Amino acid sequence: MTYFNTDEVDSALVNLSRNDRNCELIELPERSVEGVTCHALRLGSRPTGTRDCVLLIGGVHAREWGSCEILICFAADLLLAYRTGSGLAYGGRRFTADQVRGLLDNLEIIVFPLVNPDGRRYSQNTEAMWRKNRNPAYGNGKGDCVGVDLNRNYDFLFDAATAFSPTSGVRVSTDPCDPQLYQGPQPFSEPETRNVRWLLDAYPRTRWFVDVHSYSEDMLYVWGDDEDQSTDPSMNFGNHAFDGLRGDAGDARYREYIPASDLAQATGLARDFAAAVHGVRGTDYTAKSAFDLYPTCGSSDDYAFARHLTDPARGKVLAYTIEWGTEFQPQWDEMENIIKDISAGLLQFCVSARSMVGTRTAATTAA
Amino acid sequence: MADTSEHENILHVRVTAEDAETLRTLLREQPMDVGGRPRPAPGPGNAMTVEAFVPRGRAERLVRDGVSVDVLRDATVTGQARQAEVGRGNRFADPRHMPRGMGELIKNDGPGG
Repeated sequence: MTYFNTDEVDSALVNLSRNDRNCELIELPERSVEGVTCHALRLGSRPTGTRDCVLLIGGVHAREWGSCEILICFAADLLLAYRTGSGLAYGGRRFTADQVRGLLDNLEIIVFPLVNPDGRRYSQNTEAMWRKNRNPAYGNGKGDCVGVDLNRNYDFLFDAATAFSPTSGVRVSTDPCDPQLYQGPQPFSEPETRNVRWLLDAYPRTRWFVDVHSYSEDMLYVWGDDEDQSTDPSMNFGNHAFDGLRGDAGDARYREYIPASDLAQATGLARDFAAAVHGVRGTDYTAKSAFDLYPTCGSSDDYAFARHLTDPARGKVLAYTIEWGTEFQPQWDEMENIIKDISAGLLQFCVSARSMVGTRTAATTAA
Repeated sequence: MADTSEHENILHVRVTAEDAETLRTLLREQPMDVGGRPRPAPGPGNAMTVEAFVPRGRAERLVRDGVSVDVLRDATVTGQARQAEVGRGNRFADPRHMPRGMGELIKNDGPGG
């Protein structure tokens, strides 16, 4: 086997939907900048909208090729195992047929494996290290002056110059010729990120969101703009009194608020993911917050979690970023091993998420 | 930032700084294409390391007091080799042909975990 090209990614999704009644093809409302129609899959045995939803996206950064294969293989495994009444094994990690059946009977799983088809095509055929989309509209349309970093284009602390400390080193750029980190002229300027937002809007029962990236063998939970804290609710991304203070590591002037109960759930699922990955062949993934030596802004995970805080009518989405592997484009033999690792991690993530549904349902009934 | 994408090969390097603050300062002053996330360097001390992708001519200029740079590989050459591992044509052109995952189907599975 080899990496999928962009045509194969789309055909794989179409064929899965044609041949399995528990799988529905979703056509995203917007074409990519270069006019490619984008598809996602909805997995589930029950009518749409009747179950809580896990949204998995990948292929955002063009050069991180394996994210598409991870999500397509994950979907294919789940559907085949459900259809045949089987369990699944990845190396030393096993999942029972009951666990597999429980996922498709009790959750909706949306898989959007290729958010950025134009970038992937360019990376696979021309410049392997390309990261952004292929929008020529903002620079001179040549070389590095093409494209937007889609994972800086979401509506979360987009005005970094105002929100962050000048010493934070926030990883974003307003320069259209930045080869990696150009954020775009405004949030959701790009059709590719608007497609992700559309999925979050169209599936309002989304409770979990995972953006699959590479690399560093981490499972990251919110926040990415500063270190987490659970003691001062006023210290939050929406409070302009803290403008200019965000993003410095190791200081007490600003840390991003997350309720302790949310943090416990966020870290618990991340650890479950990492434990399952370890069970495949012993690879250690680290569960930690997305903030590291430096902050980020405009990223998908922070946006997805922040939605219920900026609009209380929206449901809460526990949001994550996977950073698989130790290089952007491993040799295919190793990529197959990574697909097994991450498939096991995602399957356990969904099993644990499903158990949270059960807990919530029981609590609601008792009340 | 100048458009230099067509002029130089990109090197995959490991940047090691004597401590987190030195690395943070370097990344702030010399923005670079970081791959992966910063890690404590192996061995004693507080050294931190991060992998990055920089044009060949820029790699040596990152070296300074408290910072060393090791070249891991030529990322441009590696990328070209990987492009040879991308499928040609469309192996799913037949609408009956479905992708297969990497999991092994198991029947008598007992308890999960």
